[in-house]
Amino acid sequence: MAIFEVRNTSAKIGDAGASVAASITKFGDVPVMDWQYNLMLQGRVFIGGEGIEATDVDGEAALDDTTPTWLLRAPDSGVIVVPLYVRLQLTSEGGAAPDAYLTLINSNLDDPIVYTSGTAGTVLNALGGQSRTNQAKFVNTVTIAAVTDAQNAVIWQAKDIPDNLLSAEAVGTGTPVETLSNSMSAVSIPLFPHIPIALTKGGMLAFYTATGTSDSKYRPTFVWAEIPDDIL
Amino acid sequence: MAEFIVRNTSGKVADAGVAKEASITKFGDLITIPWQYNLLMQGKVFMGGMGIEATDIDGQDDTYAEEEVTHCLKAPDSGTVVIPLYVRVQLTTEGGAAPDFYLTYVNTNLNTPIAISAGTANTVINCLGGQHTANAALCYYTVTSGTYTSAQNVVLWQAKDVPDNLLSVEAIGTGTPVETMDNSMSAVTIPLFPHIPIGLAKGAALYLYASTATSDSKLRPTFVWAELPDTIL
Repeated sequence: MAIFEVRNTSAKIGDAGASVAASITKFGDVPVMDWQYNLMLQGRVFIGGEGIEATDVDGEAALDDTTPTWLLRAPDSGVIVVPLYVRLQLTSEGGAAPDAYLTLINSNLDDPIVYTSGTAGTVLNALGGQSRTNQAKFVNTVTIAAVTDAQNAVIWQAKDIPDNLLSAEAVGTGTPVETLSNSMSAVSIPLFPHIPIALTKGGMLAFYTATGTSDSKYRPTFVWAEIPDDIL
Repeated sequence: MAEFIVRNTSGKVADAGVAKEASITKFGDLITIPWQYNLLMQGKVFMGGMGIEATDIDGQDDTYAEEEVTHCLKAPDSGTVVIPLYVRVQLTTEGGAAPDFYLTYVNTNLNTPIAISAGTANTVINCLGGQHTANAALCYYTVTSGTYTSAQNVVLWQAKDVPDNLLSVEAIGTGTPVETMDNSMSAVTIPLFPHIPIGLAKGAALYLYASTATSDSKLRPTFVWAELPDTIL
């Protein structure tokens, strides 16, 4: 049996257990599936959080290693949990001196830190209609055993947020400045890998600028690749 | 036949169905192509949104209601897995007081798809020039959806503290930084790939909402997605 076969479609070529050649394109390249998307298609990726109309969860009055607000936890055995993405949205500003942290906790001793209690958050399989359920624990209002400094490393934190971030700062008391990371006069549009486009047969990317009086000026950067179109 | 062969060109080596060697470089590295670009070359990547001169779409003009979806990307009940790659949301009209915005993932997990009873198709273009394969996903605006619960959706992105006058005042020169949708003040980019692998199937959806208590806010979305036959599952 050949090792590779040219294929020009992504239709099924065999059921599990079938011995078939791997796909290559018409120009001999090997299509590579990102492992996290392959896992997703197997129903092994999950999204945890809250629905739009859910009641947001209170944080704590003071930092205490035994009472995380939200927790993603692998079971003691059975699965490896690989976090892919975290987003944290402040929805109520609370009182003075808000702090926030995301930290990795790992005992490194084959002796899991004990989970005592918590309330489950909403968890959906990232594959629509997939009935496989999560093995990780995704919970809020948590109580766990004590965690030492040697057992955790901070991934992200925010400690200097103003007390009135949402009610005042976020709605109009500060001063915007042009920065390298937060430009008000430039935009980056990373087409690769998010926006796959193949301009052929008259296709275009067009940038327009129009100003009623004197002209606006822009310094553009376009980057592209060229491939013989007989590969299609 | 060898398993690999050195190639120094990307010209066609064979038509579909032919057993051939995979390409390697002159220094022996395997040459790969990202899966989404392979799908693109097969005409299976689409972009949905609105044209430059299109009339932007009103959001909700009252309090948020889950049934009143401003824009959606929804898988058909069967036949296709829809993989969202990218979403961009552009606020084009600020509307009235206290605007709220949400992008949420809706999935019943029960093989009982949430139904859409009304909606209008957005512009959808195949990302491969000249390719006329039509999309199977439902990229709609002004959608009426069936109800769903908090256990059937997870918010992927939201903006709830945007000032009422974002476009007319804050964004055009009062010297005030504000809560914005990302850092552009009026737009946010949500690159789902590669961080958030989602496969919309069996009616699962991304729902985008704009909700403003008085006059409407308007959004101009850009959805990019790939489609695969669901026989691969």
